[in-house]
Amino acid sequence: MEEAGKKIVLELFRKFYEKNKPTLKDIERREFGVGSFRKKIESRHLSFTQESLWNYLVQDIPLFISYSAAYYEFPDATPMERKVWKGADLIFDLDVHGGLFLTPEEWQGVKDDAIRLIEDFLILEFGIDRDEISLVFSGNRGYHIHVYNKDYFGLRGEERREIANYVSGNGLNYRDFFRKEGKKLRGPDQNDWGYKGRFYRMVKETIEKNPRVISIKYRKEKEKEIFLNKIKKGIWTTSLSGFIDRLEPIAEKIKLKTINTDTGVTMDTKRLIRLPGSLHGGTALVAGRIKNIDSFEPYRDAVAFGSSPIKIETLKQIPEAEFLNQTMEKIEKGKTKQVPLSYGIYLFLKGSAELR
Amino acid sequence: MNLLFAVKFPFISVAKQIAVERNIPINEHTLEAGAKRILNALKGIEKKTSIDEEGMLMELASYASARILLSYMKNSYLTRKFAVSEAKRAWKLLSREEERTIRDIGKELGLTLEKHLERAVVKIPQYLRYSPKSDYFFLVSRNVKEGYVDVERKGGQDRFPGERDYLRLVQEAIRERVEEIPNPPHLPSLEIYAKKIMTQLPKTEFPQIKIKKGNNPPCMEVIWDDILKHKNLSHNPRWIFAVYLIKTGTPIDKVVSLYSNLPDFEEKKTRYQLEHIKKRGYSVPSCQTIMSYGLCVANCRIKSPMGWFRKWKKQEKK
Repeated sequence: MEEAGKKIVLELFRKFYEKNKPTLKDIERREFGVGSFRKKIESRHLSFTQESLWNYLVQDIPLFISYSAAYYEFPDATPMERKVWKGADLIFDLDVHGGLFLTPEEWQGVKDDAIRLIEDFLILEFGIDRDEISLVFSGNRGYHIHVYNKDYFGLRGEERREIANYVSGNGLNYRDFFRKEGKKLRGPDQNDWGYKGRFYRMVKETIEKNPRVISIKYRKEKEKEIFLNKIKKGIWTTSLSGFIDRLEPIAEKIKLKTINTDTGVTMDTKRLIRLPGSLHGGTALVAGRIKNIDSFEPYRDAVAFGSSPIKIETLKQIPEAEFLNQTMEKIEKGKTKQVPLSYGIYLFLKGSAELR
Repeated sequence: MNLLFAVKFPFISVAKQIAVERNIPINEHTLEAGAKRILNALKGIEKKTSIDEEGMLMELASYASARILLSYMKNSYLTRKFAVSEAKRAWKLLSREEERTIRDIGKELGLTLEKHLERAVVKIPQYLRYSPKSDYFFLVSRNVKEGYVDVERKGGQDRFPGERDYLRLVQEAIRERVEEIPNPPHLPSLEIYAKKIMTQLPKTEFPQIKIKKGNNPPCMEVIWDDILKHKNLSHNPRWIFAVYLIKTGTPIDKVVSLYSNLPDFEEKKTRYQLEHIKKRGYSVPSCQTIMSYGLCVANCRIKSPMGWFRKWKKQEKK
């Protein structure tokens, strides 16, 4: 990364922060960390007021800026124990590992995860209000979900791990749903919630629509009805051999509905996380709060610097990609080319091109 | 609120109030009794609750004195051992109380038993805070909806819906409450009793076994360290480490002596379980399973902790 290019980037960042002022709830109680071209978090233990943050962003122009999900009494005190931890938001980090650009399918996958996490897990199961959830583009390869519910503030790392395990289905074994009671086999019933409820509903649906997955026996209407009536009450006793094994394909389907989230982030109660509304120093995309995820396209809606032309020289082969609503052609290594500004800065910050 | 109630559940706020009202002193006698209460916890001796007034007052004072002693000694092993034993005692007594009492005590400790969608439930954050870390209590195997966890067992046997699971949570909450120790008042005689207790403390067992500390996968080393620090480990790490030790050829006696460092150690139970592991030939879980239990601490690029051991053994031969 050449110095001249870095200067251009910093100037663009400064101009961005002159116009865009990130806001944050309870800002005085948060710790901040900032990073540069060398490192994402180079120094931490900083603290700001809303006003001083805006001044800092324009004057010091950090390439990365993160804040603590935690609330502290003394956010700038060191070492950590002296900050006096008061609680923390619940954070989920949904990330895709991919190439230089994520493919539309990869974006769709992580988007689906984010929607499911919010709708199926956080709202329906964890009872969190929609207005206590904030969905933020990470600025790079995924989404961050922040939960500001005071019941969850005080949870410690281990307890947060369990939440992450729950949404990602870690340690989930459908065989644990069943237990023998004399000669009876007891299992999930129609009143069950959570994974057990999901499992019950999926078995029911399979028996109704595609019974051969479990056994051809249930193709007969009579058998089907008897079985469905029994499992409604949680009685799963049948004469079929290896019955629980036969349910395995259904259990596999449940796993597809779990969320791929980074447990380490959720359980770390002192984690620094990208400041919503700030620029990501590895992409120059805005890590903004998202109002409507369905229509959100990162390479179009999170772009900060527009499409005036800039000349770049590629350091490696650049694959074709959708960016700024247009198809960017594949560029061979070592080529000099004029490209839209945001796209050029993206490639520069990714270490794939120099600015000319 | 009567005195007997305070004696049974000395960790609740009413008990403190009664102690103040009755002007219960802290003196040589009560400290002596407090020291004894700690030693009984250490040795696993259960004492019956007194029923005469004088005995009850002394018992209440012994609890307060024990906590003063513990706060002076700042020995986490002793504090944990004491908390585990007090929580167990309280659990037994509480199991015989009425539903109302159980709920009230639970509520004071931050656990409210509620009804939601016709089920006995606890709010998720409260549940997470106090649920034991075991397969049975893990959130994934639970009914979760609209912010609540179902604690009602199917098939009856609970005196009231949710009784057994709720009581287990309350027991954990009691353990935590007892473990929170206040700052000690300055009393010159504390040192005498502290010394007395310390002579009874078991030495940290570090048995000579085939595998050496430092030659094991990081996850196993962490569990080992925790045992030596007398931490109250949950079922999974205990079990996995025991299987690991047995699979690497450690004699049961040695494992028992290592596990005697755990605050709720019971020799008979431990030995039985270890023999069971050996007899059934359980194998060490894969790294993936260990990760799902939240016990993985490093990226070792192996598939099972046994892989590490085998590699180390090979190197040793060279």
